[in-house]
This record gives sequence, C-alpha cells and structure tokens, in this order.
Amino acid sequence: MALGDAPLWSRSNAGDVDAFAKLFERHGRTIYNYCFRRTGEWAAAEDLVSIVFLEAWRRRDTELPEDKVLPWLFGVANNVVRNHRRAQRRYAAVLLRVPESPSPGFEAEADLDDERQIKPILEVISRLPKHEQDVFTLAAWFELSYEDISVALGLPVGTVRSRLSRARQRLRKLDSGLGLEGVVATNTQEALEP
Amino acid sequence: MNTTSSMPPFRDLPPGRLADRQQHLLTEIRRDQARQADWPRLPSGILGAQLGRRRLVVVLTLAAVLGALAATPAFGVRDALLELLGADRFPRPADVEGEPATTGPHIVLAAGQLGDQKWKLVANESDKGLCLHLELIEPQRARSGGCGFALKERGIGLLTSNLASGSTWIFGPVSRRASTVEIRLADGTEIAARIFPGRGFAPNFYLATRATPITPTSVTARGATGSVVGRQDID
Repeated sequence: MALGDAPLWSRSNAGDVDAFAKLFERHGRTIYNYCFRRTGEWAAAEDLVSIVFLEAWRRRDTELPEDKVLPWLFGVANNVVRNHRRAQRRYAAVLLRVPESPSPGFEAEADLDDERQIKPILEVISRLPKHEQDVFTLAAWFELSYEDISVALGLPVGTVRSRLSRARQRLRKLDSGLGLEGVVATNTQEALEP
Repeated sequence: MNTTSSMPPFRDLPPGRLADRQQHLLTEIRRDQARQADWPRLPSGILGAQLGRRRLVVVLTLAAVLGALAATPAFGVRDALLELLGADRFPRPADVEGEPATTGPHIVLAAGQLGDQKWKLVANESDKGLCLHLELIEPQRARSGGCGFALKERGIGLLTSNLASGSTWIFGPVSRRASTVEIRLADGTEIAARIFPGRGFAPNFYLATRATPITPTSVTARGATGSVVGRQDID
C-alpha cells in the first residue's frame, strides 16, 4: 500500500531523498500545470516545477498539518512563479544540468496552441492585485478549499474569503469590458461556494 | 463558455520528462548534500523574497543603525556587544606569544549549549594555516583546538574536547566532497556528525557532541555515492 503524503513528508524531513522523490512523482504533474497556468509557458513550467521541488527540499524542515503537503507545495510554487525570472537566474546552473530530450514537433505545436489559448485569460488575471491573483487561481483553477489556500499562502481563512470576494467583483467588471463572458467569472463564483 | 472549456486542459510532462526531471532532482539534491550538509540552513533568495520589500527595507535600516552604533566606541554599544559575545574572554592566537599569527577574521561556525555549557566553534586563517577552536564560554571558560590542518593527506581532521562533567565535542575540518561523517567509538558503536558549510574557508566542518564521555577511535567521511573521501584513525 502506497504511503500517504504525511509519512513521505516526514521521511523527507529526516533526509530521505527517495521519499521526497515519491512526492515529486505524485504531485509533479499538478505543480507543472499550476506553473503553466501562472506563466502561460509550458517550457518555463517544466523548469519551474524542478525549482519548486528543489525549494521544497530546502525547506523540508517545515512542519505541515496532516495531509497539507500539496497545498504547501502550491504555496512554494506560488512564490517561485511570482519571482520566476529571478528563480531561473538563481537556478541557471542547476537547470543547465537537466538531461537533454528530443523535441517532438507535435508537442511544440500543442504548446503554442495552449499558450495562445491561455494568453488572454492571463491578461485579464494580471489586472488583479497580485495577492488576489494568488487566491483566485488556487480557488478557481485548482479547486483548493479555503483552508488549503490558507495553508498555501499562509493567510487566515477570513482573508482568503475576502480576497476571493474582491477578486470576483473586480473580474466581473473587467470581464464585461473584454468580452470574455464567463471565462473567469463562472469559476470564481463556483470557487466561492462552500 | 467557462474556465474549464477555455483553459488549456491539464496535461502530463512530455513523455519521459517526468522521469528525467525526477532523476535530475535527485542528482541535484545529492550534489547539494555532498557540497554542504544542511546545517545551518539559511533562508534562500526565494524565501527572502517572501519578506517583501517593505519589511526588507525596515530590516536593512535597523541593521545599518545598529552597525553605526556598534562601530562608534563612544556609544558603548560595541563594548557591550563584545562582552555579550564573549570576545574579550579568550586571548586570540595572535595575542599569545608563540602561537600562529592571525591573518583573517575569526568566524563563528557554530554555537550552542551542551548541558549547561555554552560553546562556540570558531575558525580563522593564520600564518600556520587554518585554525579551528572550540571555545567554552559559560559557565566554564576554556579554549581548545589547533592550526595547520593538512586535509590533502586524509580528507578530514579530528579534534576532541572533553569536560570533567563528561561532555564531549568531536569536531574538525572535512573535505567539501563529504556528505556524511561517521565517528567510530572505543565501544565499537558509531555516531554521525553534522556537517556544516565552510563559510569562506576551503573545507567544510563537522561536529558531534555528547553529554556523556565518549572516546573516538576513527572518523570516516563519505561522499554522496558512499565512497570514502577522508579517514583518520587514532592510535
């Protein structure tokens, strides 16, 4: 039977690299998609997921509430994404050592399609204050609960609630002028429902 | 139209890339472990960013004010700080006739308390090479250590300091290639030492403490792959 996140984190905390590798295996894909949805670039997202987990390893002595490893990883990813240019510079030497891979053409094409698709959405989101962007993306696009967002961003639950509420109000106004009916507003509304 | 339909769907990393990235992650972590163990683990640049610019400005301003106070003897802060840090309680090597002359700053590598005894581990460069000393601060005051470690021969140096109460410190410089240091004791058991960064010195350093008397017979440093990168036996 596979170990849960909590014991794997506990082992990572004690320096067990293999346990940490299992957490990467389990959550790498989610964090990869999070990084894409915040940056709009698949190639950057791939590097950022490596950085997120290297940062998480550096901070492995963090005490986490039971089963909150993934929300916490979202929090690490949020910080990395916010400073991703700096993070990429800082980890430039590390990223140079990533094994080379063949570049299949169809994926490059799919990458571009996705990036074209997400660009207008990110443009709308970028008009929110940064702290509201953080809360909104976790709630609307990754369906995190208030409690999990609270762990991820280190905020009281009440603050999460109010930021999300303000983000929704702002997005409704922005949306009406941009012709992106429902692109953001629908899920924001859903995110607000308990 | 909703976010689910307009947002590109979740996807996996390109084929083989998850495994590649996982392998890369493991390699980098082990490389980091080999370079320097995690003590003390300082906030990284990314973590530092969490402080926020405003708080950073406040911290830097406070540091500048304290620095100015400490640098001005008339304020008396410097003397108070020196007293607090115990700087006046031990003659530095350069102050003692016949001892190596200090050629670089004294850097506190580690500090702590073992039982009631406060201590710190200090390194400096001298005209006889690297010096490493354990300084006992309170309640006992003492200083033990040495200079001129030749790591090229063994990859590790070994020093032991004991108190009558039984407290024991085993410490020394160790090759930067070491990711673990094991100390074999006279009773046949082994204990692990913590490795910490060189803070500007050529080697890293290790330290093990015990509140009970122990006698080391050998110390072995191993690299990330388990190969021996340093060893010293005590006759």
